[in-house]
Amino acid sequence: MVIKCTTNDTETTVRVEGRLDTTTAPELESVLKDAGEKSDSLVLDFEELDYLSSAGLRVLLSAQKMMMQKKGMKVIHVNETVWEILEVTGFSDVLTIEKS
Amino acid sequence: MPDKSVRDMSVFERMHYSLSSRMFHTILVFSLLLILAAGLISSWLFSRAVRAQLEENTWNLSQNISILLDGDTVERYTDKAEEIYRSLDPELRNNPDSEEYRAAFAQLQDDQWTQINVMLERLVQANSAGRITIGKNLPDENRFLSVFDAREGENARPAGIWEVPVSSERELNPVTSYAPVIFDRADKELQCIGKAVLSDGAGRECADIIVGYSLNAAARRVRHVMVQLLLVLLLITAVADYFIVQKMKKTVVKPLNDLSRAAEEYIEDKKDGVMVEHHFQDLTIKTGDEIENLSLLMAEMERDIDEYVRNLTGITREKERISTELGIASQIQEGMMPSIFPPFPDRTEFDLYAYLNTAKEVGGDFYDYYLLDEDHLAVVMADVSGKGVPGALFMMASKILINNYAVVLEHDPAAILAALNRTICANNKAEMFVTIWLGILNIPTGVMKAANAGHEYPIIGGRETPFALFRDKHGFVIGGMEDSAYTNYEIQMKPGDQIFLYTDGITDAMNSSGEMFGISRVVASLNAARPCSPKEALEHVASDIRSYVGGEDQFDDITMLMLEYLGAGEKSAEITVDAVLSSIHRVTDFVEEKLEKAGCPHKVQMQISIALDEILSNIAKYAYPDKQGKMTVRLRAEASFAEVTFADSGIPYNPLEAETPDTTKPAMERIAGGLGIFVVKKTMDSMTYEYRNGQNILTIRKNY
Repeated sequence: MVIKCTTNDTETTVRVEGRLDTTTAPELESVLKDAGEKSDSLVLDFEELDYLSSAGLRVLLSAQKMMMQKKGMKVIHVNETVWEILEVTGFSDVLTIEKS
Repeated sequence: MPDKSVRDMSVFERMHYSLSSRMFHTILVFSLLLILAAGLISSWLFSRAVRAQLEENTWNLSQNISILLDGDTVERYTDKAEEIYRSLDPELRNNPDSEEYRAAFAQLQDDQWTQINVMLERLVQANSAGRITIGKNLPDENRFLSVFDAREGENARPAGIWEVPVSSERELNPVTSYAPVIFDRADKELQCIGKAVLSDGAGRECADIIVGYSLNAAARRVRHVMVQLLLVLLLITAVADYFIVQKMKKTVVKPLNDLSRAAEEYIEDKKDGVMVEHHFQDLTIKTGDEIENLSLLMAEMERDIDEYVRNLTGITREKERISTELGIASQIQEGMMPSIFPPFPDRTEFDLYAYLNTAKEVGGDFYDYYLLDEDHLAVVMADVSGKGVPGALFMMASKILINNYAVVLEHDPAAILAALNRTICANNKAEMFVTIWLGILNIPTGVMKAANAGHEYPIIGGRETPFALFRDKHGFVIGGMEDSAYTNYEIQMKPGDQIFLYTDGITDAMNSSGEMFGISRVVASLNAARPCSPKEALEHVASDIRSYVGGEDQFDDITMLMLEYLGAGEKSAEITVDAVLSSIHRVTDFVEEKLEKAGCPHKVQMQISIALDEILSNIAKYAYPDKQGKMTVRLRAEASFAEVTFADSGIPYNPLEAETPDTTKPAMERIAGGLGIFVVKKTMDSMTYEYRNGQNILTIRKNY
């Protein structure tokens, strides 16, 4: 998994490429934690994300909870596989998602 | 004889040709002939008798007259008459009816002449004679000059009338010198004429006495009697005919009609399928002759036929029942034998084809194959010692028992055969036995573990190697001895290897000269077909046998099966890693590579990768709380689905029982726990769990 962060004023865009699974989720968790502290809002670009597992969901949930205190979080460029996971788990209602 | 059958006749024709009418006609004709003959004979005899009587009468009467009359007196009259006649002019002589002629003779008619004439008239009446004439023959004139002439029903004729004398047509009677003559006179009256000669006192012939009897009267009498006789005979014949016909009707025609009516009813009933057996037995024919005998015989025959029909009906019904049941039995048996090929279309590791041709409705040969589990295929080839129903029953029992033992004693053919043998020996009252070859193929490794209970050697070969008889280790037949032991042996099958199994119906198939097909021909036939699929191989062998046997009937049960091992290939794979999170990527990479090769869609690959991540991370985290353990992932990637099996020896845990998280709560109330299994459940098509042999075995399957 490759994580690329771009910070623009108060908004940080985190681009996740590859697989967000049990082994890679902790890495994203620490990146998001840093970015969430620095910025008012977060954008997660999942354009190059192959899939995410429940470990990834857990990271997304805690980031969403953190950013709800601030100006919020947005997920963009969600592919079909990822969208299905988000949908069956109810995350599609919890997160702010822009499909690709 | 009529020219058509009695069945085609109308009522009138039947009546005409009926026995009684024919009898009546025959008797009538014969009676008439008889009467005719009797009439002819009796009329001939009667006429003879009458004629004889007449002749006698004539003779008697003439004799009597010659005695009664005084010759001298008569002579006086005759001489005088001759004198008068000769004194007459010849012209007058030829005219006796003239007054002058009569007047010449009137002097003769004195009192005595009248007296004699009256006497003669009386005699005519008393004797029923036709005439009595007394006169003199004048040979020179050829005339008979009558003096006295008394005739029946007439007044006395005057004397002197002449007539032409009667010429004798017959010889004189030698005894009586008397010759009665029958002659036809001009007035058509047939008369019997007698002639006597009267002599005077000096013995000189002085007069002829002519006595005539009318034959017409006699003939009338004869006719009268004959008519009476014929009438009486006719009457008697008619009455006799009537009674004979009545009697025959009663004793012959009626019983015959009764018999034929009974036969008709019998036939009708038989046609309608009615079983009433009393048509002939109810007849009461007591004629005491051949007809009664016939009726008794018919009654007996009816009884026998009815009994026979009853028996036959029973037997036929029974036969039909047996035939139906055999048909059903055959269907059941066929149904028990797997016959859809390919048998496991989604299994690409092996190919299998079987062929069974039963000579009878049900047979004793059987084959069988079934997957004991995902990795083990059992193959059975067996031949029961008997054919027909007993063989089929024994076969069913054996087949079911093998199935049962194969489930219980998995993967151990020798143990299965030993257990089967014990069970069958314990209850083998019919002392039948069965030969069985049983093999269990380990599909991933290609190892065929087999045991042989007295069955034919398998033939092994394949696409790469020629077929050859594999002389495996034989145990005794199943059902032969109670404590038979069987030994397993193993054959390592490479992809393309084939095992051919069969029963002795193939090797024992005979041609017209009684030679058997034999095992070497089987091997040769297989090699001739090589390389080919199991189906092609079996069809080739079957057609070789058929052409070898030709039209022969002794086509025994032919049962054969071929298994080809195609190899576990790329599609089936297994990986075992340490149960730690860092191992997950190795497994994911391994699986993805296989799925890619199998042509699995990318999206499904991703879904399976997610499932791998969820399940393996669970195992890594929780299966082995206080020790290091292993986890195994087995993958089957087919053209239409993928199946992944996870196995670990950790603490028993069924993820399917995990609580389903509430996916509707708002973000702040959500917890991330339990989502992993939930996601897998949602994205996969099926998910099964079992704890077996100390292992958690979780299988997921995704169709695509």
